[in-house]
Amino acid sequence: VNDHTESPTILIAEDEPDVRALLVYRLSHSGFPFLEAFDGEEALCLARDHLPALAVLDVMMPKVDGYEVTRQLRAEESTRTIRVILLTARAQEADITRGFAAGADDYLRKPFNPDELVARVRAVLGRR
Amino acid sequence: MKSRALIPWAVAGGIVTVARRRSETVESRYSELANRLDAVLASTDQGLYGLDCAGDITFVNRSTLEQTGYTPESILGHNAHALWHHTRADGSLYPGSECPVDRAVRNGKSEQILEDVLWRSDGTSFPVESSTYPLLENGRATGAVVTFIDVTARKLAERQSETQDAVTRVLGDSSSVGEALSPLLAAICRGLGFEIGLAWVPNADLSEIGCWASYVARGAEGAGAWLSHGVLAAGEGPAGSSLASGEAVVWRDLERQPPRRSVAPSGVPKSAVAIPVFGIASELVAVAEFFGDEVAVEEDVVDTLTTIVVQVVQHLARRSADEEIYRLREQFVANVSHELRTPLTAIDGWLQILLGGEAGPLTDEQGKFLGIVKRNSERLTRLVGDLLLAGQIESGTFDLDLVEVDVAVLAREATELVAAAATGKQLRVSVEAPGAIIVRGDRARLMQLLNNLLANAVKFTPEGGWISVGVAVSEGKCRITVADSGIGIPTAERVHIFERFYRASSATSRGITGTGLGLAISKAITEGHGGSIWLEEEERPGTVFVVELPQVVREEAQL
Repeated sequence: VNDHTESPTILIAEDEPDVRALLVYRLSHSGFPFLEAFDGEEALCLARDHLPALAVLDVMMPKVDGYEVTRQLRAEESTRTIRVILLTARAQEADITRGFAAGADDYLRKPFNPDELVARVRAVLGRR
Repeated sequence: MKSRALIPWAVAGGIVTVARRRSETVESRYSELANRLDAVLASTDQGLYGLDCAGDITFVNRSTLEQTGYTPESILGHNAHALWHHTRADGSLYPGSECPVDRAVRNGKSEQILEDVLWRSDGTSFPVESSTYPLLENGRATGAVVTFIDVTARKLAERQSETQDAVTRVLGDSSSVGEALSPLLAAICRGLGFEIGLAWVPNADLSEIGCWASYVARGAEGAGAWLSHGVLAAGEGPAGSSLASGEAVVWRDLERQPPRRSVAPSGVPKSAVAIPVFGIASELVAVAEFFGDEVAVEEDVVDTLTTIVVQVVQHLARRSADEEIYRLREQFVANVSHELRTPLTAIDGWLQILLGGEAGPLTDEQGKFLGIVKRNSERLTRLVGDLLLAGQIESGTFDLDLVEVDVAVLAREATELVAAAATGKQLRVSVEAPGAIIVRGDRARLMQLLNNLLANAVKFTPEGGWISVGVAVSEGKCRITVADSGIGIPTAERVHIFERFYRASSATSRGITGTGLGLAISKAITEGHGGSIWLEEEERPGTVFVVELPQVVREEAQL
């Protein structure tokens, strides 16, 4: 856990190690402190304990999926303001609508361009 | 009936081999012969009778009497044609002068009749096949022997198998149960001689049934409307009785046993048969009810109807199993596509980081090689996307997000996307589009469509050639043309190019890679917009694709 800068902390939840490492590498190199979660359950615990500014959540995760994590973050008073970007491997419009319905701020389709991810993270954080 | 046939002198010697015992008198030999002939005539189930030269009956066998219902006393010496051959099957008068039996007697030549009827003493008829053999004396006919067999059972079996064939055809031609039902009822009614066929569907607790589909023959409309009206309680009418008992029921004499509670209109057929329809889990799913005249409602018909119902249920069960396999296959394609995307995300993302120089500077060669990896990874990503989309198209889960799209702008953008590749091959690319052509469409999908056509044009046009894109409104439709001076598509293969995974020989023989999905997807996108796509016939080498989109919102002249 990184908390040495004034940059907002980002929670990264992704079960695929190679993709998670990519997210960590790209966001940390862009100067963001980060938290790492391996599944939805861990993501919820970390979010409650550390209150990151933004969560990048994979949709298809074991235990609790990205939609459900988003819904629970939105349902709790303390975590309500955490921004959410969903990573979806499914390209269907219905899935995207479902993400927004759960309360996500933005989404990225896999495979994604890491630079685009950073741009979206900055854009979503800037909306505050 | 045990009456003995009367012995005709004339035939005896012709049929029976006479035993020759020297000690016997003529009297006793005659008596033995008569007995033997009597036994022969009685032993066969074929009808057999004799005629004299006037066509009057000289003898009959047991079977003839049984089949026609006459006694020997009432017919011997009577004219056979007038007695039981007076009317044709269709009810028209049958003049003796046209009768082949009489002709055989007149001409002395045998005759066969394959389609005939005989009339019983009670006024009913039955179908027969008959043969007439003339009795000749010095070359002159003195009478004839007629044999006949009742072909009712054979005719019925033929009708049943024809009906089953018709049912099979209907099932093959229709894509859903709802669509098949009325034609099925029609095929059964026409085949088995019913006037009205109704399909009933029960409620959850099987206490009542409602009419789902019907077939009514011409002329029976009034009775058909009355019979198919409303809801039947269990036990009411033939269909309700079949629902209550779970068995086939036959109601004869509907005048005395009305099939509905309300007052019947005129013209209601005399009899009815109702058959319960059981699904594959043996649950009652429907009742079929047929109305017709007496002749249509025989025990064999109940068997035939039961067989047909089982045939239909099995066909539908098989079809739904096929659909399940189909669904699973599409699900599999979707899952595989998803599974492929996860590693592609890692490959693509890390490549991006390496190429961006963040992990340290790259040598020229390293950069070049990673560029090749990147290009192929992108190609794989596109392929996975196409595969997923093809699966969605096939399974009907392919959605369009319709907004107002300017096709002229889209065409320019799509052209820019292939500009680098075109320049690399020294291809001249031109776009001819007026100001704006706004259609209702899915922007991303239309872009994909244009991109597919343009990418093909670049791929199949040799260096130094040209590609021309045109957008125009013609007869209220937006017409997009993508033409090139490329290698073209052989005429014989043109009909196949929009099929999934089809690849033209002109492409494969030149080693031009592709999946054969692009045009199939382009066609699905076009048709999803209510439009059409085709290949224009051209004299000159090259290919011209035309896409026509109907939903033009407005057109603006160039500024």
